[in-house]
Amino acid sequence: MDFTRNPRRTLQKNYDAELSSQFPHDLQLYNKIPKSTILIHEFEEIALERLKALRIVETVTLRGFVKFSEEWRKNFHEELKKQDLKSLSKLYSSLGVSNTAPNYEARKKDLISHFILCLAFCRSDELRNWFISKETDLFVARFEELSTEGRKEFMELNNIDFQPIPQEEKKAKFSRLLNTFQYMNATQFDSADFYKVPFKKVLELVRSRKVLLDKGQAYVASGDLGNLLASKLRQEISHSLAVMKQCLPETTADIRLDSVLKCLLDQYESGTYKPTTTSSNTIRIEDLDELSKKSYPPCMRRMHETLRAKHHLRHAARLQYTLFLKGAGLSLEDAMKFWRSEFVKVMAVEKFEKEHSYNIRYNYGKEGKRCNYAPYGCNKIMNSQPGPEDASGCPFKHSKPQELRKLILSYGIDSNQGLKDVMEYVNSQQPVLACQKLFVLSHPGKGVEFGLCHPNQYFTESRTIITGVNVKQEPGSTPSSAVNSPASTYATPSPGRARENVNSSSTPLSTKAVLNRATPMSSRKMLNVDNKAAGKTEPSKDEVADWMDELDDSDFSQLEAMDTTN
Amino acid sequence: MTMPPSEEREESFKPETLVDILPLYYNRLFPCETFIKWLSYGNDELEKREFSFTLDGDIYLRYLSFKDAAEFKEELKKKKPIKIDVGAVYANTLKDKRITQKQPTEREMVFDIDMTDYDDVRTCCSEASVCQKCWKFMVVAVQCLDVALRDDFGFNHLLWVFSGRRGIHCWVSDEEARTMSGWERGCVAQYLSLLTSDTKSTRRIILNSERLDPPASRAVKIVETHFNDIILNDQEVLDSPKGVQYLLDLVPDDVLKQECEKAMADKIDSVSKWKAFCKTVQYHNQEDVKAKKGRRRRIQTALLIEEVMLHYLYPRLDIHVTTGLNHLLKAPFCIHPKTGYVCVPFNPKHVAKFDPTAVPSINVLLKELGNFEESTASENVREYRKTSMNRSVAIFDEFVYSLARMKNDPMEF
Repeated sequence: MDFTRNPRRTLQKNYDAELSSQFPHDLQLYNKIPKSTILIHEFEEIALERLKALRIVETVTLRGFVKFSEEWRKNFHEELKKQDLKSLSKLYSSLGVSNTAPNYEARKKDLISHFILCLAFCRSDELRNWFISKETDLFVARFEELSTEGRKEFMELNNIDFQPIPQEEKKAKFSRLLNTFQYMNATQFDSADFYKVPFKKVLELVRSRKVLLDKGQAYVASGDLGNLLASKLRQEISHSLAVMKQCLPETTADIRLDSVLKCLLDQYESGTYKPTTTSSNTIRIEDLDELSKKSYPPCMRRMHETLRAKHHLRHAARLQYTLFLKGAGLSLEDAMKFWRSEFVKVMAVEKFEKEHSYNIRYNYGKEGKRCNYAPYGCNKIMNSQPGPEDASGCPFKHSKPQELRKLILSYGIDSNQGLKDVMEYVNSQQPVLACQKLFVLSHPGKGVEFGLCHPNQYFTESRTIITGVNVKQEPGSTPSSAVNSPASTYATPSPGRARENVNSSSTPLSTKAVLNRATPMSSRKMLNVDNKAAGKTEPSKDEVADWMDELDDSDFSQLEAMDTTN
Repeated sequence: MTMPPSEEREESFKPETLVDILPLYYNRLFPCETFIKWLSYGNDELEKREFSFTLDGDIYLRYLSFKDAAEFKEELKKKKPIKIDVGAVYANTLKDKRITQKQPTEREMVFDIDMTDYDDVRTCCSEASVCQKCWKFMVVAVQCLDVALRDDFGFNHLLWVFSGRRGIHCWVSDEEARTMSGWERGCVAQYLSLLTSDTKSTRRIILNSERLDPPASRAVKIVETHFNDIILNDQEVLDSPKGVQYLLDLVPDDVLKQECEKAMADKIDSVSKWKAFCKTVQYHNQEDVKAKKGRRRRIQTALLIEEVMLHYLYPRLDIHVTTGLNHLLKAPFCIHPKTGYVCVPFNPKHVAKFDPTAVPSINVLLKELGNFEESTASENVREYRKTSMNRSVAIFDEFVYSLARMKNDPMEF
């Protein structure tokens, strides 16, 4: 009889043992670069899945839920399941405690996919920032889901040793702590632990005033540990990205790897509305008044009307509106004519030429760094902080209620119900959805097949519906995004599709539309990878460089600097 | 109401003559040595620091750098900039023109408060004009921010500067602050601005709680002491129907709004209207408690009076200036090209005594210099000591030397 052990079983056992030592916890800090072989199609698949998950993090936040609140987390999990992201969804719902059945494969995928995206997203600051912020959000959400033991285990495994402040210190700061953490009741407060760390480690919490600050030290409640860890993770990812960036020459040399990574970025990009930045000559000054009534989103309409009424706009509004017009297709010559015609009503021509014409030319990439700036997206506009007198910003977020009401009604909405619906979104602090609702109401009979995230997108979608012609031109688009099937993204909207959806126009916002932003890669696109590998449709280096340039708007602040200091 | 004393002085300053008298100012009065000592922080990275000159005729020169105070002074005399801006420290020396990628690595954390951002609550002046009444808004702003930056964040090296016309700047120069990223600065600025925007009312500040948290409570204490003086007595914001409507728009609850309107209707001056307003809100809040209304409802108005006071007076920051690492900001001791005033540092502790209309202007300084030399024969007096700029330079010196002391190496620095 042969008593030797089954070699296959031993192998499997060894493999499991190795995995369990490598991935002892559902959550990880991604501080070990994975070293194993992976099939190229699997490589691509898991990376795309992760990208989708990050996109979900973004959309759920855009919908207006408070980050990591119970609602946010519930919504997030539902989306994960809906989009069939099995392995992440499993990791997400597990408690992280060692006695629950561990899913080593999922943990491994988690690690590898993270690093694949690092490879793709290390290429520009804009990409890096997006990636880091979404990854840390995903991490915090997952940390929040863990049970108390799960958290404890995680900290032990990662050698994170936070010591709660001693009782005397807690007593000494009693009233200030109590007033900072008002959500705790007396018993909760008595048993709560607080941690003291340099404020720089918890800036996310500092920002929302969820910590007590004292002489540069931040007192963090144990419930906010996730945020504290996020700063650690942010460092880890920054480091990984820097390492990956150094490897860039090698990764781009490998044609298989390179095409997959570029494809990933295409996918990311197609989910990001990318307005045209090359000035074309498709709209005329004479039409602006009419266009503003029919096709402008409220933010732009408000600025246009303020400009017509006061013949002046403040700096932030000038920037926001000029870039919008550029993206909408107003040529530089016309832009100059337009601004001049208004401004000279309140100032001398010389003053205009001296103080403003430079800035307009600058925005069109004709002065200074000659960088072609992209129009502002909804996020940027919503996060701006307009002063009380400013016409800039997002009306759904920054306007006075009466003014907002007037503005909404000026879109000719015939039912009281309509106004009420829009205001409901406003009141629940979901400005993007409010705007999208307004779009639906002001384009009756047409469905919305796009997730709004950019005023220029609002404009082009509206023009497409009204004129029935696809007005969108994409001079800067890469060949592969042109191949991208229209069904998977709103980047190339088709009027036919909009019509199909007439019936759904009564739904406040098709969540589907929002989610479409993280669509699976169409099979055509998959195939496209091979074409690319053969060097047929690969975007030229210059095109990629152009696009990176557009993403970088750091130079703006320099221009602003010239303008704001007295 | 627009600043009678300064108008006189502005008259005597003629912007078109500025370029002619600037070389003299730069040569004899501008504190080049200390200025450069400050921006080098005891290391030899000055050549990585960006300066920007604005020359007469709107010519901007960016990415200038200097190797020492002597070269800086030479260039000032030669180029005669009507404005000097200070930018970031970059990864590489700026003199090497081959390096086109410019990566800002460090800079002071700066705050910029501009009087025009208060236009909706100030009735005495508007736009660029500033009087002593306006300055009180800045006094509150300085008091609120100075204590927060020191006590909460533990910063020690703060340089407060009057911009020369209508604003103030603060340069936080602690190493901790200088090395922060744009995002990190944004977080600090957000913390300091106490803002939560909301569409239900126009209030800038919404605390959303029943009790004040420590930073808000400290701010309220400061604002309270000034509110009657500035808002009710000086600005008389509630005297006009427009001002009353403005206040009512800050009230989030429609019923309460009507009650407040009624209560204020028969009152004439701002003080009594405000009293009526507070009484109504307090009564409303007590009733809410008595009626055992839910928390969500109570927090809407529980701190309304405090929020309104903060709305009027809490510093309004231009956040972009703070977050942009490569943002340029006008240097201290620059001459404001329109007013001729020197951009002078002041002591935040004595900000209430600072008079923006009595700031030395360039032509006055040069005259003082002449007068002094006529009357005194002494050769050993430092140039600025002969003028009214003396005190501002002393404040600046102290700031720079306190930085040097931190370095523990006063000889080197």
